[in-house]
Amino acid sequence: MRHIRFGAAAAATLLALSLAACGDGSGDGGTGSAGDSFDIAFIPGVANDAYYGSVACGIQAVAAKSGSTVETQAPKSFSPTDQIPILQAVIAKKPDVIIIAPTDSKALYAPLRQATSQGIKVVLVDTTLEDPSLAEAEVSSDNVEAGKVAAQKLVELLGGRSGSVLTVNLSAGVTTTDDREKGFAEGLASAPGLKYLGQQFSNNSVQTAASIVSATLAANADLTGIFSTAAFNTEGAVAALRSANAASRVTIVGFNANPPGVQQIEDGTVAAQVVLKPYDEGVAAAEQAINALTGEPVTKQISTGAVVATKDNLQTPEVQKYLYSFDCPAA
Amino acid sequence: MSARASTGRRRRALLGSATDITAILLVIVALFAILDFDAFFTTANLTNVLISASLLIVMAVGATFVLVTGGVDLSVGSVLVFSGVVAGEVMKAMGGQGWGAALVGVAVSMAAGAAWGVVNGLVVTKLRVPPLIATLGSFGAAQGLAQVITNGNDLKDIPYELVDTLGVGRVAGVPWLVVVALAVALAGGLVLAVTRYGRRTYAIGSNAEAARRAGVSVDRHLVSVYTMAGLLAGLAGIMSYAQFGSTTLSGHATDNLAVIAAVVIGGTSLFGGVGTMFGTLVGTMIPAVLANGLVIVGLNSFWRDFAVGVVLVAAVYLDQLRRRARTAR
Repeated sequence: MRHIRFGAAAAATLLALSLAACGDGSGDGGTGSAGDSFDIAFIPGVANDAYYGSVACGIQAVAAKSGSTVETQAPKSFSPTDQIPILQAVIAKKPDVIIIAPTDSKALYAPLRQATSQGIKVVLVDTTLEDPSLAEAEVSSDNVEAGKVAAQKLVELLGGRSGSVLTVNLSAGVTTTDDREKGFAEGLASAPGLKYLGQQFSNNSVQTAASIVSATLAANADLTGIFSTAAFNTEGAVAALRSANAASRVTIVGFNANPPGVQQIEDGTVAAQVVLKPYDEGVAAAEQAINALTGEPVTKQISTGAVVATKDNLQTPEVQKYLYSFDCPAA
Repeated sequence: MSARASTGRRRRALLGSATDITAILLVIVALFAILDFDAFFTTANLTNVLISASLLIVMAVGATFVLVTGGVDLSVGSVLVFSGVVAGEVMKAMGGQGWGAALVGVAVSMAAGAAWGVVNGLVVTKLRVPPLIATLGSFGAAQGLAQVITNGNDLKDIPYELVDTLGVGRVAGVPWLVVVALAVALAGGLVLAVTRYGRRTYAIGSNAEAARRAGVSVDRHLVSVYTMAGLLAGLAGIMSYAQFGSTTLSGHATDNLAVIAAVVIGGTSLFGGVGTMFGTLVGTMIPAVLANGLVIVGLNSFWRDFAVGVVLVAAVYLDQLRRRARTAR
């Protein structure tokens, strides 16, 4: 009896596994047709983030031109502890090039060294390493500039109203979001009548972001503007303002062109969202990757810019093109 | 019946409650080897699998003792981070480089972990707070303190001596991380299987009251078990710091559940009294092999969570069957 039951349990496990194994039927059957088509592996910083979805779209668009294949493998949290095992498994498959958004500027160095020592080329996208010399190229957004643009937009939206301004940031030590705050602080310094309260860290938790904003509202009755450097922070800030009944007197500039972020503009809960250009990042990364593989000259460092989306310009093509999405725009 | 039962008993003496799950691990490995032999079944790749499991193995050894007593320790991932942070600060204060700082760092990390273990043990035994709540409390407290100490910034300066040995170094081709993890598992396995300490651990998990009447100082033993779990989390802390070159403040939030899942998959009963270190080793390897293999066969690694979930429930179901069979006998 025991053995029969064991058999059943084991069968269920195997069924689950083989289901998993059948889930993706496409495999890589159609590769290796032309001489200059390549296996490109893309490892984003975290899964289920439309930002990286847009990066993948950009890579895909370039890869399609040469008939190259792109395989995306994403860690479930933005952390080297999740990303490194995935990177190592990808290295074992020996792709021609790995395009990666490193989740730590130091921890990813040794495993990426392993890749290059096996002749796999590496291109860094969006985030980078302390010592990026092993990479063929690094592509990133100019986040300081994006922060400045956010400050200008906030000043414009406030239209001369005075009061305090708070930044709700992600976690200390994340270079991209630190740069956004730096640019924002610089941009705000020249604005008259606005008192900058500095930044608070939410550690990417909606609850923490909400409690930061409620506490700041309680302490600073004149709070008039919030700059949020990441999606969860914006959601937390919106919730806190709503429950404190302060949504009408506090203007939020967010940093999220994900579908929910776009929804927030349409609802009017968020006045503006800074939109980076992940699609351009993906295109640039894939172009440099293919240049490196075909022996063409490579541009070592590329930086892409930002636009600000508001209710007024949301429907314009130049903003629409850059909203983050897993659905790639038609080529 | 009797013949089959006796071979079954012999087999169980060797692998304990881990017989079935060992078979499942071998099948999974075989499956990946068939699907993509060249990428999966290489020494380099299998070494990578062991590296990615090594931190969890070290913590799972401690958790096996805790679960065998009928307790649970949810604090391990946070204690790991906390210990790494404290060791990092001490090494920084000592100038940041050199063998002296490196060795003190290892000692401090283990001491910091053991300190949390003592706290867990005392809260469970003296304050009579259930282990689930006591260690959930220290899970939050240790993570919070680690962030207070670092102000949320990951520490990144660790002695090169430590990175080059424990972090990425190898002995005879085997990574130090793996050597340490397997040595801890071997030592833990021996202590659990053949020493009086191990027998007392089982006795408390089977029936704490009976153990107390037999003259075992249950409270003191429990404190020592939680202390060992904390100490091993501290060891994992310095291993993690050396491996990643960063204290990875946000990287270990779900380690506790991964560790408990691994130990339970390995046949240790949540109700205490049953479990082997070999089973724990197998239980830790299953998620690690799945995470690696699924990526290699070109599937999203999220399937790992799904597959581990199925294996976990299957393992506990088998445990239930075993208990029923035992009580029926």
